[in-house]
Amino acid sequence: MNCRQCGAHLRIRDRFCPYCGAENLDARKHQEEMERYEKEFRRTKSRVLKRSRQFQGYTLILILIAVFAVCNVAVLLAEKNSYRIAEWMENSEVNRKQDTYRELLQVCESEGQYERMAELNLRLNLYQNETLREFQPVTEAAYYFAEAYACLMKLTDEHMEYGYETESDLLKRLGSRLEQFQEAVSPPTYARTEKGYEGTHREAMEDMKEKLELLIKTCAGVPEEEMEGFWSLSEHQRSVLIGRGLNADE
Amino acid sequence: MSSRRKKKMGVQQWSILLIAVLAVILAVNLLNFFSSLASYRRTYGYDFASFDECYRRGEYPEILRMYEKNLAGDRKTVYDVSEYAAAAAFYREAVYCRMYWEDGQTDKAEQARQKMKEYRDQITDQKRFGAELERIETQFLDGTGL
Repeated sequence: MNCRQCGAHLRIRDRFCPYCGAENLDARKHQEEMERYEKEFRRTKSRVLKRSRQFQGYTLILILIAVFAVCNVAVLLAEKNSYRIAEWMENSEVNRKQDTYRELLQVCESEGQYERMAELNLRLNLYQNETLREFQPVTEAAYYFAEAYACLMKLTDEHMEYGYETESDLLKRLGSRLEQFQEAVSPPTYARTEKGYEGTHREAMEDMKEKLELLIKTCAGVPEEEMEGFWSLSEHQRSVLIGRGLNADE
Repeated sequence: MSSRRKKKMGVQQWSILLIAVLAVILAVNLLNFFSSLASYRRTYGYDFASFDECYRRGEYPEILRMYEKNLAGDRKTVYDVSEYAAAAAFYREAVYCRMYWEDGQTDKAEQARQKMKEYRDQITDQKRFGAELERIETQFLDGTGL
């Protein structure tokens, strides 16, 4: 650049011409522009930093909101399926303790604690465990045995209250439970394990059957000769027979 | 500048409020979830009053089933109803004892009699159960000589 007055060569940082002393207007303009750029740079820098801090803050809030929302959805879904989750947890526990449960069922079976067998099976869904599935038929039979025993005692023991059920209700229920018991102890047809009907399981089933027959004979007063072919009767016929025995007793 | 500042604070406040609301909902849902899990385990639970009511009505088979349900549902630590269960088992053995005796199976009747004694020994509350056990014994064993 040259001096506008004397034409001498000037450098950008020369504010005045060293030869004629005139002001270097280009240098001043350059200085002013530099200051403006500097200011703009600082302003932009502070804006960027501020935005960045804001962004960090919003990101944190957004992440928190997203996490809470996802957690809420997950917990809601879990709550909707809580029954399945509880069942799954229980099945896992049964799988872990399957040896203990097997021993317990075997003891119940040998000692004739049929109520316990039935309730254990109902409560813990033991049949869902592969190795305990063989107990399914006998525990099912045990459940109907316990139900039939309760009905028979209610019908025959005068010290026991009927509750909300009448005698005919109880007879009907007894007939139905005996039918279900008969189905539970019947040999397998298809898709049922044969192992569940053999050995100690078969013995327990026979024991339950014998006890039911004896209870019907001794408590309900059904004569020996009428007990012949009792298990081949229909549900209704069994109820009628027991009802007749009870009324004959009275 | 002041309004922009106010606006920014507003957004932050709303966000915090939203997070607080979500946290409260999450806490409630978690509480519901765990109570549902707990209620699944408690499905088959019976309390002391249920046993006493059944005992008063003489429903021994029902007592036994309720007791087994509680055992299967891990309720044995909550209520001690073992004496009710022992009384119910005593009743059951008395029924079997009479049943086998009438059928002429005296050895099985004797076994049932032994079990009756075992269950009787488990009962310490004589005030509550004593007279009733005597009554059951008389009802089922009278005339058997056992």
